[in-house]
Amino acid sequence: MRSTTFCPRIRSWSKRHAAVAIAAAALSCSAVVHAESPEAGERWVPSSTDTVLVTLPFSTKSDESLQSLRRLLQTSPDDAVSAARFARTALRRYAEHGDPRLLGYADGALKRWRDVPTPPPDIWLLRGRLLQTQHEFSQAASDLERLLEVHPNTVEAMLLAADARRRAGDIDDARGLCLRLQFAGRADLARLCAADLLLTLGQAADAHAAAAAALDTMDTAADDAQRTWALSLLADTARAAGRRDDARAAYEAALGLSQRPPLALSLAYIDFLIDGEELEAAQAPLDALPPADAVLLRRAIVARKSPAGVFPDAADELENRFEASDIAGTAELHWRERAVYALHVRGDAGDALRYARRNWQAQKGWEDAELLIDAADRAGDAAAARIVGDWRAGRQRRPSS
Amino acid sequence: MRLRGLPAFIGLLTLLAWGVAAAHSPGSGFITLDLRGPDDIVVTTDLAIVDLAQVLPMDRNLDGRVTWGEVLHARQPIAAYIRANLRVARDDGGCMFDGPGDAAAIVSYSGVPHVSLPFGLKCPAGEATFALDYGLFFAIDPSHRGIVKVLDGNEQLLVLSDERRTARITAGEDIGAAGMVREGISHILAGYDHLLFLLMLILPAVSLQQLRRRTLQLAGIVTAFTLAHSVTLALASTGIVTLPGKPVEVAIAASIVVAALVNILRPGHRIGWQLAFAFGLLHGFGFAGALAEIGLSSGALFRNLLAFNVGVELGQLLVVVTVLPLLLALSLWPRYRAVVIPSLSTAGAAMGLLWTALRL
Repeated sequence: MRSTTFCPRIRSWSKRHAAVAIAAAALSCSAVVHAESPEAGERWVPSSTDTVLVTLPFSTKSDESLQSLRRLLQTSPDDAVSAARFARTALRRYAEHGDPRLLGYADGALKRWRDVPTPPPDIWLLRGRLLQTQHEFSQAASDLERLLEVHPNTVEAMLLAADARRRAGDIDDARGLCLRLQFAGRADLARLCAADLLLTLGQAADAHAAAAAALDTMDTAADDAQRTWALSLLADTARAAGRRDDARAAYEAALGLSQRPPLALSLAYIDFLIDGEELEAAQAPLDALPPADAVLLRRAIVARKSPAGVFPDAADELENRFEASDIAGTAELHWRERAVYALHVRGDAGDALRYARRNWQAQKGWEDAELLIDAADRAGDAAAARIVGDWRAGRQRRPSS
Repeated sequence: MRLRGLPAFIGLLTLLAWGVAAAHSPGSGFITLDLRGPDDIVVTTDLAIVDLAQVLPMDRNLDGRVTWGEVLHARQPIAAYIRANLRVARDDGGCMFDGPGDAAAIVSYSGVPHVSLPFGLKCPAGEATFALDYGLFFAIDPSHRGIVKVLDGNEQLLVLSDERRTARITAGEDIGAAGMVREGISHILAGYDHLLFLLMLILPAVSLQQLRRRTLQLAGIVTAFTLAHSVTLALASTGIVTLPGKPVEVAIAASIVVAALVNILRPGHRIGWQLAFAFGLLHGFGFAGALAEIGLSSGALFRNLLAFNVGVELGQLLVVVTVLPLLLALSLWPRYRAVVIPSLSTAGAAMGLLWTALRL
């Protein structure tokens, strides 16, 4: 059959259904998965008007709903206060749910100020944060550094800029921003910032010590959100240093601080469980999380390592989403997931290395470094295995003369 | 300074999210433009309920959940939103959206439920050139994508974004006459069943000793086969006569068995052209099935039909010209009729039987 296709299964699906001319469902490979799953039809009409189709992930009784904030924004789209409230809530919901639409919504609210040189500070900070979430690390850092020129004591901008510089691989600039936190009177945050840098540079034990010191000296006014961050960094550094008991205690403490923990924290804990082959323990939290791409990835890994029947559709669904992302032209945002998927689900070290190298070009976090090292080792590529080591060696703090 | 109204360290949590949960495909709306005929055009819009909830009051009772009843209640506002933000024009004349009436369904993409509404399109008369202007959701989500599938016999897939909202669609013209000739050639070359049938027919018509007489016989067979399948290909492609695909495929495989059996029972028979004509009618329906998959636009139907048929004939001649020298050489052997024809025919019959069984 000669047809424009992007997924072999779609081809067979649309062939089967050509006669009924409802091929719209074949637009997404994911529709195929649902067509094949027993509980989800490809196109269906609910039998009752009471059937709940979706729980809007953006509204809760205890918090402002995105819908109500949207109504405010619609009445005054140029109002910076409404736009900032909406974008901030969308980004916070994104952190909890991982639904990429929320990033788009935040972008939409901030669009009016996209090219404004000196927007209101709230908007400016959110704009930088959004750029960072879109993996525009250098651009985000530059924007936030300009913000700091105008509003020099903005602690959040320092943290965000330091993180963006670190991910872009500009370690010296990131160090400068961490130091700036110290001068701003936040020694605890400066230590956490430094711990993140040390972790990226492969100095897990030092990083863990820095994170522990930061927690010990945490400002008494620190709220749960700050403590969550500190504890999760403590856990990550303990995990990287091979201190599993410390890591477990820190993850569990961090998760216990919030009713709706950040998705990334839940996933880091699940990664920790998978690392330790605690697959059964990983299943329940994975089941409870919303089906974001990153969640599907962990489900696919657990499925691969477990007896048949555990998360049976996860790998197919994830592959479909990768293909959908190719179609939408956003493949570059998936390199890390593709590398992990190739390495741990498909067992294709060559592919994994290819994706891990691309990912390393795009972002240089601790997980990205470990992924590249792991993929290079499994592929038996000695030159690739040295990339991270060489990069780190060139960026260690030079002894002051 | 402390930023006004910014709760402390929310940024950090969002930041953390990017440590791990970094993969993010944008939200998408899915549009199918089904060009069934010049005046039979259906647009199906599949839009995420969560996106719709950002632009319309989908959650009437504000309980944070959207039920099927709430979707049905919002059907007309959704249709109005679609009409205002999705424009289709033919030859620069705007098309009217007719519907969706009572039709509505749910379909999931990436686990996200979408409301599916079909609309009939009433377009000004014209050529098969359409412009589609997609403006859904960009106001609230600049990273949104409109994924448009055009069904015009072929499938075209278009991805529209805030930066590129308009697509021009030329239905069914992307292959051209030369392309149809190529399709015809490749179809016959890949169509082992048609070729095996033809081989069975020409086996008894090969003889170097009686070259002139046998060449006429051979030409008669090829011409009869061509004439017959051209007739049914035209009838089927224009919709005058239609046969279900599966029985046709079975019968084509069975025709190989029949031709082979005739060869085995009467190696010197001269009824090749009659067989070629009779069964050629069947094979034409098979070609029509292939042609339907390639797609024919109504505007260039006869040109494309002719081009495809020319391709089939060229491919057929190519095979005959390639095989003939070998058969002519074999026919020099005195036992060609006694051994070669029955042996090859037995193999052909076995293959035909196998295909028949597989296609049943």
